[in-house]
Amino acid sequence: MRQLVSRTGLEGKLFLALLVLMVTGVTIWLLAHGFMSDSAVSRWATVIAALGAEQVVLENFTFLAPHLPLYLLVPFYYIPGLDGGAAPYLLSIMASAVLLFLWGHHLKEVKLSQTRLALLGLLVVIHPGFLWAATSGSHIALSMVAFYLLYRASQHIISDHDIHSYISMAVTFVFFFFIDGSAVFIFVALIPLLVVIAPLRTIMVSPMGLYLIVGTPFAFAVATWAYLNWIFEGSFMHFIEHADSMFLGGMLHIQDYPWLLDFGGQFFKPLLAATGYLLIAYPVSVYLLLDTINNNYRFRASFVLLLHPLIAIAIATSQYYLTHPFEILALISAGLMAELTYVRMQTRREFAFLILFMVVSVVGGWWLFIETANPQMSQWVQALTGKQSPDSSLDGDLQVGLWLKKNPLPTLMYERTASRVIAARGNAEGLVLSFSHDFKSAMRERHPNVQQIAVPEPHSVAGRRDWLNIRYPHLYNHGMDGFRLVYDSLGWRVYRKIGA
Amino acid sequence: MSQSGGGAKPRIGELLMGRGLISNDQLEQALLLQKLEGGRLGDIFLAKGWVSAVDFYDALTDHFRRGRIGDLLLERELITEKQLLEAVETQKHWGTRLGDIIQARGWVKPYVLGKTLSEHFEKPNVDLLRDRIDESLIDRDSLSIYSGNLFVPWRRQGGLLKVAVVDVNPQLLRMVDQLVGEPFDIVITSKFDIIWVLQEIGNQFYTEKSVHELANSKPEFSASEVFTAKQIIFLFIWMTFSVITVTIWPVNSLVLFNVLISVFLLLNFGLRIVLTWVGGDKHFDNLVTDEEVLAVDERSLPVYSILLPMYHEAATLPNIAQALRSIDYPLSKLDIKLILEHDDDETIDKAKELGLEGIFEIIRVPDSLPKTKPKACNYALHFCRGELATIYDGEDAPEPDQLKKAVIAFRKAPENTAVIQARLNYFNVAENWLTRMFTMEYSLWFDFYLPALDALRIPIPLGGTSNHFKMDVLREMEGWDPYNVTEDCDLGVRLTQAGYRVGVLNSTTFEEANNSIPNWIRQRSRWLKGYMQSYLVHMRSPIKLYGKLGFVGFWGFQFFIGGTIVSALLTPVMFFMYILWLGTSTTMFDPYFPPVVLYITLFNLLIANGFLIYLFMLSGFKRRYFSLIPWALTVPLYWLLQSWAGYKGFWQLIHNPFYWEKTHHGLTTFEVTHDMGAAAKSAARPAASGSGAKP
Repeated sequence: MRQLVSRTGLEGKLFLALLVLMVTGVTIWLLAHGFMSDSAVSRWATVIAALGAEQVVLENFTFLAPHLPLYLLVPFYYIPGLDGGAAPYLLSIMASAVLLFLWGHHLKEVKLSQTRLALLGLLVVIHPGFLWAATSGSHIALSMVAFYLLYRASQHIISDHDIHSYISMAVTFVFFFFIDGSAVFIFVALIPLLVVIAPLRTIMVSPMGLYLIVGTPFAFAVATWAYLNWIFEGSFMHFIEHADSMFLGGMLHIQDYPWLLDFGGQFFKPLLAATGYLLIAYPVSVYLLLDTINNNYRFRASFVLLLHPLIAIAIATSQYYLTHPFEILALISAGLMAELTYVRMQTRREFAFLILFMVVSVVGGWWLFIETANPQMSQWVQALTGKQSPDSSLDGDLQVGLWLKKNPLPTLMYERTASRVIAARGNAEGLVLSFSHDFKSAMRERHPNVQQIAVPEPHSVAGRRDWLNIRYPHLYNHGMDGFRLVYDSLGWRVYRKIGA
Repeated sequence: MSQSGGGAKPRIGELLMGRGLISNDQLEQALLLQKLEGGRLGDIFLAKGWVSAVDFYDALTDHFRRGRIGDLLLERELITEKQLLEAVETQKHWGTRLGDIIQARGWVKPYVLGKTLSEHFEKPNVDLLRDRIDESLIDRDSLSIYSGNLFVPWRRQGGLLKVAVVDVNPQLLRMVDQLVGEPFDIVITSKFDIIWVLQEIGNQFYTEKSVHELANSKPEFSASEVFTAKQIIFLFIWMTFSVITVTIWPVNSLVLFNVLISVFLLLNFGLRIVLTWVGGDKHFDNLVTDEEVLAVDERSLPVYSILLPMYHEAATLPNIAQALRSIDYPLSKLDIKLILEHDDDETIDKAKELGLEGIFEIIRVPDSLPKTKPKACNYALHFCRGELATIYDGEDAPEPDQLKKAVIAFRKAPENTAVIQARLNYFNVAENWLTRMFTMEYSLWFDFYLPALDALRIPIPLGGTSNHFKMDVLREMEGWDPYNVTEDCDLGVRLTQAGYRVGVLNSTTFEEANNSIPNWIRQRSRWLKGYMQSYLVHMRSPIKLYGKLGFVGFWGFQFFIGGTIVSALLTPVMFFMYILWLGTSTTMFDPYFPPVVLYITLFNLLIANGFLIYLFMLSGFKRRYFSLIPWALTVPLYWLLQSWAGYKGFWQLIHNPFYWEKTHHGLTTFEVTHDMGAAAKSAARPAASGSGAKP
């Protein structure tokens, strides 16, 4: 039992700090090898566009993506030296650091030795689910924190059934909704499982009471969002009707996502497929389920951990939302961390089995991640292995962004399809963007009264959705009276007012 | 069964000489006097002042008394042998005197017991209503001591002062000795005689004390002055300044005003969230466990005074009497005061008709202004004999172990704990929409907010009933402020300022929730008026208040007490503006809501209000009143009612500040009970059990 000697807080924290440093190092490595996350670029562009506007108002952020990750990026905007777009990656690292330290704090309850903590921590972090979330600059790191808290709340409901656990679950769902569009599916997937989580007598007496306690804040959050959409955009449904909305997931671009092509609109098939994915990437979940079969409380928690993400994946796929199962599957890493805070690894044998299954999970996870990777994930794996990403001089968005940076005249452009351009420009000062009054008045004019207009090639994916192309269909090819072409490269053209 | 002992009685003179209390000469003189003038030897010793009454009665053993109380009662067939056995057995557990137990059980009336005691001590039994006392012997400044200890100087006979007492014990005799400062002897009377006589003689004294004591000794805490001169000047300056700034900079001023309101409401919401989280800790549900209650030694329990202020509540009297009889506490240690107004013949007659046990005492409060509950309680405080005291209302049904829990809680609490507030809730939860809302509100208040206030050391506004006081502290605080219509809230803040702690207790008293909107408005308007009074009183010297309460306490007070008032008054204004904007799409408010203000307002409107509704749900969930949870969605309507009451209270604060809006009780058709399982059953058949409340 020498292994179970309680570690001091400092040693544990030092090790967790080392893990965070490792995650930071991996991120720097990835960025140095040309990895660029679309999600990170898009969020950063939204933030700099919103904050660089003449009047900083809420609607600048648009209501087409959850706001919390954007608000968390706001302080970075004011930190010198971060205009190159590193902020979303930094935020992901910070979120994973919070998660790790929270986990370390909760692990004190199971009195792990230093060696065991190190081993577990390492195996958690090197799982592709965790590493991808922590280093890709996406919102998934924040989702993992939310999922961890959610799962802890579930465990507390099972074991303690106190009011704090219900409040935690309900409030976490609210935050989750403002972090990640998939929170709706995660919430819906938990509804049938509440029967497993909550005490039987409560369910028997008042199931409605239980669901209202867990679900009302979430319902209020969704209603609040709809209301804000109505206030600022004129429609309660704006956030699920607008083509650029993140809340639609892959719905309008099914052809771009093999997962949706194979399983979109169905429930049971993606459920089966996700089960297969889980068995490969997280067999440790199955081990924990079997290991806890004699412990009613823990078995229920393990059962939820196993089933909940699968149902969420199936529902999200049935609604054509989920573009890749790893978007939700990666959250199991957080759930697993929460589960481990309840596992009392009494014997060496128990711990050895756990480690074994975690190692298998890591190996299986990497294999699955690489095998099923979407282009973004592939780029991440490539960068991780040290292969340089394609030459940035061939990136049209990047090049026009850099050009606009050197030519900082007031420029009319539609930012929702040009986030990479804005991110490359580094700020939005002088840009006339779609949420601004000037943009709206310009769109009402036959000849907009602006210094410059940047427009993408109308037959490209971005070009087809660009409002400027829709309003002025001949602009890209034929220009506009009073404007001359000053930039034409890699699918972008910039027209400048004659005399400007 | 016989309690009398055997053996020959020693002579009294020899006994006193043997103890060195008298000399041989004195004994001889006394014997001579006895021969010449007659009388009892002991009376001669006392009259001569050769021995004090304390020493004299201390020396007297049962050998000098005529039988034991129990035997005497049995001999006269006033109790049965079985009752005597039961009383003796009970005595072992309760540790009180046999007479008290028999009286508490209601087996004999107090005046009958008084007669028996007279026989026992071989002292005269006097009927103070017939044999009037000599009022010149009364020291008016000592009236509270007389009433609190049940004795009163009666007459001077044979040069010796006779003091009428209800009981004879060394402690009492020492107190009498100290107070009268001369040789005295005792006569026995009934406690009701003493109470009646003292009320008759001391009416003016007790009234004066109960109305003006606080205002005289601590005027800074008395609400008798609604606005102080400083406050009026401040108000004048502030209003003038506001008018000037609104005239010169209308938009900016109104924006600033909006910012202040929005931020205040935001922080108010934040505080309530924090309180719910902190107060939701399981620890507060186990402050005193059932095991601790079971383990308590009843002999160690103190005498507990229970104040029952009632006014025109004859219908509820049998219920509360029964609830108190059912309390798990040695009945002989209960000192229950039925505090009835002089003109409330209906309730007084009912109390007489019920033939209540000796532990119930009627205190008639004479007519005087202000006619408020705190004044009545202050009046009754002079007659209380308990080490601890609590208040219940007529329609209350406390959980039976509440008093024991309170004693244990005091023992576990820090020494400076002055009062412990039990939880309040309702037994007629599901009677109608209003009772549902009221129940959720009370659950939130008492099950979440108050424990959190205790934990965060924010002054606790005490509830109207079920607050358990240390009597000495309560007296030190001069009782309640009779001019404050939420005297309980005020007292909680005063105690905190005085450095005392106000704690909470995991025991519930079930009350009757108001089931009628007009009645509810009356009650709530009084509460909100009282909050305004309390706020004005304690904010007379904000800096001093800050110094006493500290940062958290001060701001907690501002938001918890002040926030409740401001929210009530602002809600309809905000709702009106919102509905106007929603219905007309007007842009007239736009300049006054710049983006930041708009966002805070939107947050308050959507998230804060949403969560406040959720808090109501949680209150129902924690209490396991699951059926209430969906009703929480209608709580905004309840807020509007609250605002209505708020404006009524505000109006009254200016026009009739001390008027006590009486809440009518006994309107429910539900059974009065602390057993919520029974309540649920009676809810299913309210008509059938309706007689429970109004037998």
